[in-house]
Amino acid sequence: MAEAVRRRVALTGRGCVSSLGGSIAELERALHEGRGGIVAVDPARYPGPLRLPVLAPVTGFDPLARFGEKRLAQLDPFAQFALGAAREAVAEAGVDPAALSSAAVLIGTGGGGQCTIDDEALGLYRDGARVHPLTVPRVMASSATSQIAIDFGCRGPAFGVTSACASATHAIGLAFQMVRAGLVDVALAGGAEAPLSYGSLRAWEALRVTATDTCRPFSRGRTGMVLGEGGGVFVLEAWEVARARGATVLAEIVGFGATADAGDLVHPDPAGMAAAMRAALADGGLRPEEVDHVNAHGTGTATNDACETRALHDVFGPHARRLAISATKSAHGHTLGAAGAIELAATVFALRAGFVPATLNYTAPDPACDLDCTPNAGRARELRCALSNSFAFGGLNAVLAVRSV
Amino acid sequence: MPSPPEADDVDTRILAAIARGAHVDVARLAPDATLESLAITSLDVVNALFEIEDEFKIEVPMERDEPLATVGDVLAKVRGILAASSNG
Repeated sequence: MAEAVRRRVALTGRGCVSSLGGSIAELERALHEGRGGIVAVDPARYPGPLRLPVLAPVTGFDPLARFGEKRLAQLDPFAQFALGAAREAVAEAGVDPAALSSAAVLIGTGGGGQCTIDDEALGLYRDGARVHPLTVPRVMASSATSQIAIDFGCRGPAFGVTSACASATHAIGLAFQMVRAGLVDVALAGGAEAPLSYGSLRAWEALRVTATDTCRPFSRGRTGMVLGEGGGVFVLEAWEVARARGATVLAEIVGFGATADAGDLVHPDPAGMAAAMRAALADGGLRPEEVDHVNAHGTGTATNDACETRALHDVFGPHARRLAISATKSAHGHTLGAAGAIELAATVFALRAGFVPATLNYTAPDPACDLDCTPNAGRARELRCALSNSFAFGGLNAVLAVRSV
Repeated sequence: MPSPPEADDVDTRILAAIARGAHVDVARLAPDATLESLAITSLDVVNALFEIEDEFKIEVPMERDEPLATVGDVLAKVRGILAASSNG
């Protein structure tokens, strides 16, 4: 059997749309300043009451200005966030349009065009209204992938990836494997989610996992997660291809690990989390001691944060206490299928800036979460390697390992 | 002193709602039985609270600092909310 091709994979472009702003620069500024994007629910936006008090809606993003009226009509908000992020990522990478013609496009999402289906169903069931002819192309979970492929003329392998809150991490991990294995030289990968429609929010409320005050991961008195929206997209390139064209390499993706708990539908399993982290380390040939930083899944639910802490102890042993951990969902909210991409952007920022972002809204230590989660204030620290964790409902775990360059 | 008949009726309705939501035989819902021993998971609890909210037209808030370990814990929590709402 021929030896498998195993190329290094460079990250050369990033784009991000989130509650912290419509660009990577705004995300990084907010993370550096320790500023969050969680705000009070705007009741004018919703047709009825909500129990949850706060959300993390996108700011600094004008869809009409970015896409124009005709294109915008094709785009559910989740696809707007993905396409906006993809354009920023391609611009930063400076990759030749010709090189994109064979690129892969893999975009994760948990729910796809939820805002569109909510709006159209309301009109149909309440008013007997006609359904808009662009509903299907807007709703399909692969529409963000298609829109990005169309925008850049990418004719390589392209499909949507879905695993709830781990979708973006699975998408980026798959793209990493495709580039590493020589299937493609370039991939655009990330995730997007627009779950702030009324029906979606009421569904999350019913599950009783949303915070009654705000998102305070790893803190005593945490009450749950805060839903956010957004998108993140990266340009991944074969190392030698990127270097040959003189591209700036922002970070190296070195490993990807994915596992399934095959247990409870919503209750996480520390063993499954730990197995995914171990798999990412092994895939990247990393010893636990080489990892300085973890962007935790850190949702702010009582259960996730305690389970993730146990998993980190299990994987890293005594070194766990030397990890600088950030739960940036406390700043940009839980963006579900986009979370892994926005958090990889935060991870790359941490590696490049030598700065550990804060876990915001922390009030007091919880003995079940006894690691250094960088409470309330970020700090400078040289960081060599980092993990970005995503542990989804349904027990689907995905972890990326990234190295500073 | 025996409890007034209305209280028994309330408990019966709460237990029936738990049984519907968690898919458990109502006969097994003894007050001192732990949810764990009845194989009632966190998702089953969410379902049961949804049924209880529907049954009594109340809202059971999303507090997480008071763990519901036994059937009696659920009964006490719901009785407390019903008492508060009838007094208010």
